[in-house]
Amino acid sequence: MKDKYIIIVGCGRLGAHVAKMFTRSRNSLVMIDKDATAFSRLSEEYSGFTIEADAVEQDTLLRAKIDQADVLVATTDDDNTNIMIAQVAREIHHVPEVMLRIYDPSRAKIYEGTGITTICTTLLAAEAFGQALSSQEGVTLP
Amino acid sequence: MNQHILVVDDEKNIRMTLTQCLNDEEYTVDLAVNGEDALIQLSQADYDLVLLDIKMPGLDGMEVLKRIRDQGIQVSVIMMTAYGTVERAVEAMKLGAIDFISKPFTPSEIRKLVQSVLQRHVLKETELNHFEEYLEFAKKCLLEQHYEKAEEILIKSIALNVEAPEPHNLLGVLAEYYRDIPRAQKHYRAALALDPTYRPADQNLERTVQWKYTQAGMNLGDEGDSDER
Amino acid sequence: MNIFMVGGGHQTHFLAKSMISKGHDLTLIEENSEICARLARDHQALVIQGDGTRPYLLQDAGITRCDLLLALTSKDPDNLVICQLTSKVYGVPKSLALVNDPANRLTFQKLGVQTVVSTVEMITDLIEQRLFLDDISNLSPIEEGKVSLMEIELKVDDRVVGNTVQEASFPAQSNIGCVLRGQEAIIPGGATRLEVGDRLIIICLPKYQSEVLKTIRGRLT
Repeated sequence: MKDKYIIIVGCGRLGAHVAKMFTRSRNSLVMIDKDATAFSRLSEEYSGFTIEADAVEQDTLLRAKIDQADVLVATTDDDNTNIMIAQVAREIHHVPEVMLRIYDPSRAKIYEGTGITTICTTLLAAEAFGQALSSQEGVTLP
Repeated sequence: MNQHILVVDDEKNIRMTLTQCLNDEEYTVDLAVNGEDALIQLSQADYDLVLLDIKMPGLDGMEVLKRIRDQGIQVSVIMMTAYGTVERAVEAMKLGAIDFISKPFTPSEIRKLVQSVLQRHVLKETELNHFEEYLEFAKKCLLEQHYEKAEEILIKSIALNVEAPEPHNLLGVLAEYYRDIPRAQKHYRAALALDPTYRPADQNLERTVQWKYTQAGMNLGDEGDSDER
Repeated sequence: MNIFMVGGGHQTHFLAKSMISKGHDLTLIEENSEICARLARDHQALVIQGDGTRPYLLQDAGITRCDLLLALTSKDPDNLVICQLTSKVYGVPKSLALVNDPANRLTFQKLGVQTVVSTVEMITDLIEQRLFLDDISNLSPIEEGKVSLMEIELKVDDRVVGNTVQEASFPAQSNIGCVLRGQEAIIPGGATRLEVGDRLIIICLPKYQSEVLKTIRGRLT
């Protein structure tokens, strides 16, 4: 993944971590968070821009030059916010790759078929627990 | 030929992202963490280009630019602004800087700008072909203070691309330089009519509305205010 | 009609009262337990405490019977999610969302929300139409400001006082729908004479409002 223009919304633990991963290759990152103190979670090696603003406001995304984005990642703590931002990115600004994190998987039906990638932390964690358990007991779960 | 670039920005993540974008076969990148640091480095080495952040604590970008020129250093300068910061386009032009880029910017945006600024100096009036070359040559004229020639070339460039807002914006800056504010505003509005999202013209228009022009000279207004947009 | 209202805080009380008095079946979903308790006490409605953006909650509340949903929370993303869930996933035929940021109105419409109300825009429109500066109340913006409905009270020095409607020569692009005189409501004809204290209910296109005012008052302000 080289030279992609990536916008991340939400500099919580997950957002900051995602930024760290993407920083490694030659990408241009923009991190958006309502609260500037969140940026302290970014690693020392973070190279990119930061914008302190509410991404639910249309102006913020325009300011981040969303029309030129290759990737948008929505990692705020609020499912509904992530769902809204992801759809705005995908349906209105046609960002090629849009990913979001949600806790409640049942809400994913809203944007089914739009090509938005869902990362459901609840399901992933449950699977991981399941795998850990099965490997302990020597049982393979279906 | 390896071009030497100095990046001046107080934010570490900006310095790093620019290093990543530009550090390759074509360019060598040096970093300065603030205005004073930049002046020291510029006195110690020759640079082909300076990327200069406007809003920095201590010496801000415009002050650094002024001091560089006072010292007779001719290097090309690209001014970097944060979103919402009003570009002091005329002031910068008088100090020999005509290129602005607002943060955040994509890698291709900055690379394209760097390339066109560095290649500008070889352009000759007799060898101009398409719109971009005319535009770049006009900027070269503005930087060299050949204002009449710049205006002539800008008008020619409009004929080659009637949809582009940039020539109109530059004509506005030129009009402002000549203290013809109504005419400047007319040009900025023309730019915006062609492209309502063209920020430089938007900011220039707003700036001309905010600041008061007195008979004695340009009253640049309260610098603090312009950053609080 | 079976109406669901999600959020809305204290205003829910008055909306609920109005809807129930019109004979609708109401389900109210609200996160704040105190507001829920009050609503349950004051209204003949199904009151559910919880997050209306959770599909399971909407299902339990019987969303599939819903005819109209109003998303009135203070958070735009929540209102969007509620409307999209109810129309896309549960097939509710009509939905309305409140937007706090007027710039989101277009966004919501592009994302499929049928009706979007922006209170900020409504107020700024009223101010822009300068109707607060006059003794007029704008009754309701219809069709997103395409039609203007005004109520104007006639004062002693207004030009049209004493004239018949025909003599008053209102602009052709306007219509006096009704004259409220004391306790009476009169549907006026050309011969109806206008008196001080009459409240005229006028329908016109927004751009002719000034002309209507000028006709009535004899001046613009």
